[in-house]
Amino acid sequence: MKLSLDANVFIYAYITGENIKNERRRREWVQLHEKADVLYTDVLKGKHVVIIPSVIVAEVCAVISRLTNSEEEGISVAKEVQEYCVVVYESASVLEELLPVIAKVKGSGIDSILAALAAKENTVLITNDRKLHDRLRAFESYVDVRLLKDMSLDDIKLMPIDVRLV
Amino acid sequence: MEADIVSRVGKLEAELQRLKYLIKAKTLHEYVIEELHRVKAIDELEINERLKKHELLKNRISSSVVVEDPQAVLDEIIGDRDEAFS
Repeated sequence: MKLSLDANVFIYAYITGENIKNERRRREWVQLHEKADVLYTDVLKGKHVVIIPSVIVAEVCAVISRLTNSEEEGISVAKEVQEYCVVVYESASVLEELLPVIAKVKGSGIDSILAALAAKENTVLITNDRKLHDRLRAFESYVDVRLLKDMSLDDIKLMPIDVRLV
Repeated sequence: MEADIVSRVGKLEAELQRLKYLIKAKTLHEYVIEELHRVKAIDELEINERLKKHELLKNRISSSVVVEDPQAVLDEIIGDRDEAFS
C-alpha cells in the first residue's frame, strides 16, 4: 500500500516510551508505539511504501533532537527515513503541481503540503493529529486519511500489500 | 520610464527562467516512480539488514530520551501547526 505518514507516526515508531514515568502517559504512548512500530516494520519489509514531503523529515529530525537533546540522533533518524521512504523535495515544479490541492486544504503549510502530496500520489495518509484528520475528512474523501489512535493493530496488520511492490 | 522597463524585463526574465526550469524538471509522479525503485527492498537478506539496523537505532533513541513527557514535546513542536489557522 502507498502511505504518507505524518511526523508524529514516525516519532511513535522510533520511541518505545517504556521509560515514561507517568503511568497513564506511558500506557498511551506504548499503545501508539506498538501500532506505529508494526506499520513502519512493514514499510522496512517492503509491504508498503511511504511517500512524504521533506518538511516531515525536518519535523522528525527536530523532535528527535529535542527529545534526546542530541543533534546527531535527530540527524540519524532523518537519514534512515530518507533511506527507506520516498522523500519529495519542494522544488519549484513540485510546488506548482501541489498548489491547486494546497489551496483546497486551506490548512497550515506542512499539513497542506502533506495532504496535497497524499492526494496527488493517491496514498493513504496516516496521522495522529485529530485536527488534520477531521479537516481532511471534511473534503469528501479527497484524501484517504486515518487516525493512528483509532486504528487497531489488526487494521494495520491487515492493510493490503500494494501488488506493484511485490 | 527606463527603470520601469528594466524592472519589467527583469520580471519577464525571472518568469522565463522559472518556466525553463519547469520544462526541464521531472514531474512529481516521474520522480516518485523512480524513487519507488530505489526504496524497494531487493531480497530477504536486505530486509533483515534493514530491520536489524532500525531496531538498533530505535533502541538507542528510546534509551536516549531525556524528557519526562515526550507527548508534551511532540505537541509543542508539531501538534499545534494549525493553531494560527483555526
